[in-house]
Amino acid sequence: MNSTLSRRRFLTASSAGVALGSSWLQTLAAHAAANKLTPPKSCILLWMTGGPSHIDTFDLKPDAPDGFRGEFQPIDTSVPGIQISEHFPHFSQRMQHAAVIRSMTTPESDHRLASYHVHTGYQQRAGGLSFPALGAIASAELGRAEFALPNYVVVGTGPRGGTSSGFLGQRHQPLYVNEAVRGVQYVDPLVDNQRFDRQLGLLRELEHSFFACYQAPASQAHAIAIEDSVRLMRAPELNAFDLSRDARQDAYGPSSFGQGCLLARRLVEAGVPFIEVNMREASWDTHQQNFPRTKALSLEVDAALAALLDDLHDRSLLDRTLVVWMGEFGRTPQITSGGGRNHHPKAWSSLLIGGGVRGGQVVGETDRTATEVVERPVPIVDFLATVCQLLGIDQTKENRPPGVDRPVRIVEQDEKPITELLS
Amino acid sequence: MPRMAACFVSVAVLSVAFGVAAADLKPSGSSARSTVATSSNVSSYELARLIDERIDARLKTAGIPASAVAADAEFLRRVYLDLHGVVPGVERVRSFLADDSADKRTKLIDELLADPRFAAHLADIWDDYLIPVADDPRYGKQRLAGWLEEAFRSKSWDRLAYELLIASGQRDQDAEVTYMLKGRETLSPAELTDLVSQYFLGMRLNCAQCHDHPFAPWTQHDYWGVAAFFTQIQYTDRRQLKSGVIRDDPAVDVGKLEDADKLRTPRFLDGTAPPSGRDAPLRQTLARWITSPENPYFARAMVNRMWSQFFGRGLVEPVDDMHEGNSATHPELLDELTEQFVASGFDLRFLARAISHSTTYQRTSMPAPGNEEDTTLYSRMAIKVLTPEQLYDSLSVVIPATSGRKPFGRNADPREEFVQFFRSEGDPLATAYERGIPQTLRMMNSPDLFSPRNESATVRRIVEPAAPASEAINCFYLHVLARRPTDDERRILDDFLAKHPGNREQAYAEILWSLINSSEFSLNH
Repeated sequence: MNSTLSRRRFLTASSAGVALGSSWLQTLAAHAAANKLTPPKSCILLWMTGGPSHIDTFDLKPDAPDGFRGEFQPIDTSVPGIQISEHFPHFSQRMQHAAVIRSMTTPESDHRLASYHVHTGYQQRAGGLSFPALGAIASAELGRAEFALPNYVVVGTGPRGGTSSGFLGQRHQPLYVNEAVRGVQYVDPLVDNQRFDRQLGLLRELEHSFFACYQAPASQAHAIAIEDSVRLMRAPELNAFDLSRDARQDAYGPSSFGQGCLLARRLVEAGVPFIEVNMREASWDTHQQNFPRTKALSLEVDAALAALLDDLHDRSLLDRTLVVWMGEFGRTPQITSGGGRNHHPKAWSSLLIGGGVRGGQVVGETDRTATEVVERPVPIVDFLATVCQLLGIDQTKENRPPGVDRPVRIVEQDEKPITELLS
Repeated sequence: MPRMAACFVSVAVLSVAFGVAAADLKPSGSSARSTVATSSNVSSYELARLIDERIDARLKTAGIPASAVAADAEFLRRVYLDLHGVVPGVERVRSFLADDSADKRTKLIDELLADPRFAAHLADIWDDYLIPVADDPRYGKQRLAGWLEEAFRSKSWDRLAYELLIASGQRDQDAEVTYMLKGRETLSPAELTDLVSQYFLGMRLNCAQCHDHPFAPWTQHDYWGVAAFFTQIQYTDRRQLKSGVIRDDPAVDVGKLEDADKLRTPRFLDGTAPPSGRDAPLRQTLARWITSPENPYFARAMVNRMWSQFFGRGLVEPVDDMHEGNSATHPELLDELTEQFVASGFDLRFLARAISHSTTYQRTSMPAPGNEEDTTLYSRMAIKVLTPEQLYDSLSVVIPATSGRKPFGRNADPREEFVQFFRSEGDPLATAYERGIPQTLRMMNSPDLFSPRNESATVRRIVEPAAPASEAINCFYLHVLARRPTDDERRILDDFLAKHPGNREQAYAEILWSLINSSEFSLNH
C-alpha cells in the first residue's frame, strides 16, 4: 500500500481539524470579549432516576378521592400561594428562586425510552440517529475547547440511558463519575512524568503508523480519548474532585446524592458548563411502598438541594447556575394494591431553579387527581427550549450529523419556550 | 503486499457447479430445500462461494473495487476474535505464520470451531443480550452464561432457543430461567414480548406497545397478541432468592387478567391463532411456532445477527429491526443464507464456517483506492471495536499472570467487574469507538495491568532482556498485536531504544505499555 499518500491524508485531516479548532477558538474569544461581564452559564441537572411521584412531591391534591390522594400534607412555602409536600421543609423556604412546572407531558412510559426522550428531546427510533443529551449540547455550545476538565460530567451510578453525546461524538461524551467522594479513578500515572511522556510519545508515533494504513475513524476517536484523558491527568482543576477539602462538605449530608451535589457545585466553580447528578439506581421507581420510599427520598433531596442552593447563593453563582430537578416521568395517581404507583408520563412535575429563572412561580395545572394536564401543557421541546434560552443556547440552531443529509435542530421545531419564566 | 491465499484454489472449482444451484434457490418464506447438500463441510464451502458471488456482483454493479485478501497475521487475529473472542497466544501466532501449507486457513477455522471456546464466545454475546446488567451474581448472569455455553456447545440454534423460551423450574437449579427474572420479579408479558421479538425474531415490537408502529407493519393488536402467550407464567417462592420457581399454569384465562383491555387472545405474528382446546401451556405453543423451520423470521434473524457478528453490521441494519420497509443490502444473499441455515438443522458452526471461509470475510480492512467511502457493500473488512469481554480476555493473554496473582482485578469476579466498567452506554455500533475517559485512564494507569512491582517479571515472560533489540521488537509485536512490525515501526522503535536513558527492561516495559494502549490493540481489524 502507498503509505506516503495515506500519511498525507492523515496529516491533511488533522491539520483541517486544527484549523477548524482555531477559527472556533477565535470566534469564542471574540464572543468572550463582547460578553466580558456575563460569563457563560452552567447547568446542574438533578436526575431523579425512576420517575418521582408528582402527586406526592410538588403537585399535591389534598382533595382528591381515596385511592388517589397521598399520605403527605401540603405545606406553605416562602412564596404565598405555592404549596408543596411537607417532606421538602428546607427547600420550601427557598421557593422564591424556583419555578414549579406542574404540566410536563411526554409520550414514553418505559424507563429507558423515557430517559432518552427527556434527555435528548427526541424519541428513540429504530435505526434512527443517536441524538445528543442536553449535557452534550451544552458541552458543544458553551464548553471551552482549551478547558482541561470535560465540559460534561455525569455523577452517580445507575442507568444512564440518554446521557450519551450521540452524533456530537467523542469530544462531548460525558465523564462518568460513579462515586462523588472517590472522584476520578486511575487518574494518577504509575510512573514518573518523564517516563509517562516518553511512552505517550511512542504511542502517538506508532498510532500514526497504524492510522496511515487502516484510516479507521475508530483510531481517531481513540486518539481523542487518550488526549482528553492525559489533559485531565495534568489539570490543576482536578482538585475540584477532592471533596474532602471543602468547608461545606457536611452541609450536603452523607448521602452519595448529597456529595454528588457538592461535587457539582465545585465543578461549576471550576467552569464546567453541565453536570448531571443522578440518584441511586431506580430509586424513585416506587411500584411498591410508594409512601415510605418517597418520603425518605424527598428528605434526602431536600437536605442536599437546600445546601446546594445556599452554597451557590453565597458564592454569587446562583444567578448563573440553572438547577433542574426532574425524572423521566411521573407516577400514576391511582394507588395500586401494593401501596405503589406505576409509570405516568401524561402529567408530571419538574423544577427550574436559579440561572436567571423568574422564581416563585407555578407553571401549568393538572386536574383534581393529577392525572391530566388542564393548563399550559409542557411537552419536552418546550421544556428544553426554555432551558436553552436560560443557558444562552440558541435552540433553533441546526446541527449536521455526519452521514445524514438533513439538518437536525438542537430542539425539534414547534417548540414554545415558557416565556413567563424568562427574565 | 498480502498474497492471495492459496487455500481457495481447492474449492474454487465448486463455485462453477454451484452457480447453477444458486439460481434455483427460492427467496424467503418458502420451505423448499435447496439442491445443495446439507450439514456437510462441502456445503459450507459452497455457501462461502455463494456469499462471494453475491457480494462481488453488487460491488461490480456499484463500480467499487474490493480490497485484497488479508495477510495471514491480520486474518489470524480477526478469526480468533470473531470465533473465540480473544486474540491468539504468541505460540499460535508463530506457528501459523510459519506454516506454509495451502489449506492452513481452512484448518484453523475448523480447529477454532471444534474448540469449546467458540461456544463460550457465543455465550458471552447472548448473555449480554438477555441480561445486560449483572443482577444477583449468585443466581443471575453468570449462571445463565454457564447454561448458554453448554447449550451452544451441544445444541442447534432452534433447540437452544426453544429451551430458553419454555424455561421453567427453580432458579438455583435451572439456570435458563434467570433471563426471565429481574430481582425478585419476573419480567412482565410486555417485557418478555420485547425481549423475545428483538432477539429471536429480529424485530422491535415494543413501539407497537403504545401505538401502531409508524414504519413497520406491526400493530398494537399484534403486540398484545404475542404478549398474551406469557400471561400464564407464575413465580412462586419469590422471597427465597435462590429457590424461586417459574412455571406456567395452563388454567390461567387471559381474558380475566388485570390488563384484559389490552391483552388479546393469543395470536401469532402471521395472524393465525393457536389451536383451541389445548392442554399445553401457551408459552410452549409460542415456542414451537417461533422455532419452527417454517417461521419466516426466526432463522433469518439469527443469520442476520451472526453476519453482523463477523462484519460489524447486519445485512439488515439495525439487526433487530427487520421488516419490509427496511430492506437488506443483499436481499437474495440473506434469503439464501437463511434457507441453508434451516437446511443445516440450524447449525451455527455451519453458518460460521461458511462466513469465515468466504473471501469477503477474509479481505483486509485496509482501504483500496476507490473503496474508502464504502461501509455497506463489503469491499473491505469493517474495523470493529473489541467488546469488553474480548478486551479482558485478550489482556489476560497479553499480560501474563505472574505467580500467585490473578491476572488483574481484585473483585470477586474480576472479569464481570471489568466488563461492566467498560460497557458502553446504549447500544453503539460495533464499529463505533465510544470508550470514555474513565476507561482510557484505567487502560493507561491501572496497577492491575501495569504494576511497577511486577514490571520486570512481565517483561521477562515476553522477551529475554539480553536478546538483540531487533528480535525483542519482533517479540513484542507478535505477542501483543499478533503480527510482525512494519519497517516504519521498526525504525521508530530502534530510534526509541537508542535514545532511551534507562535500562533495557524499563524500555521494554514502556514499549509494552504503548502497544497495549494503541488503538490497534482495542480494535479487531
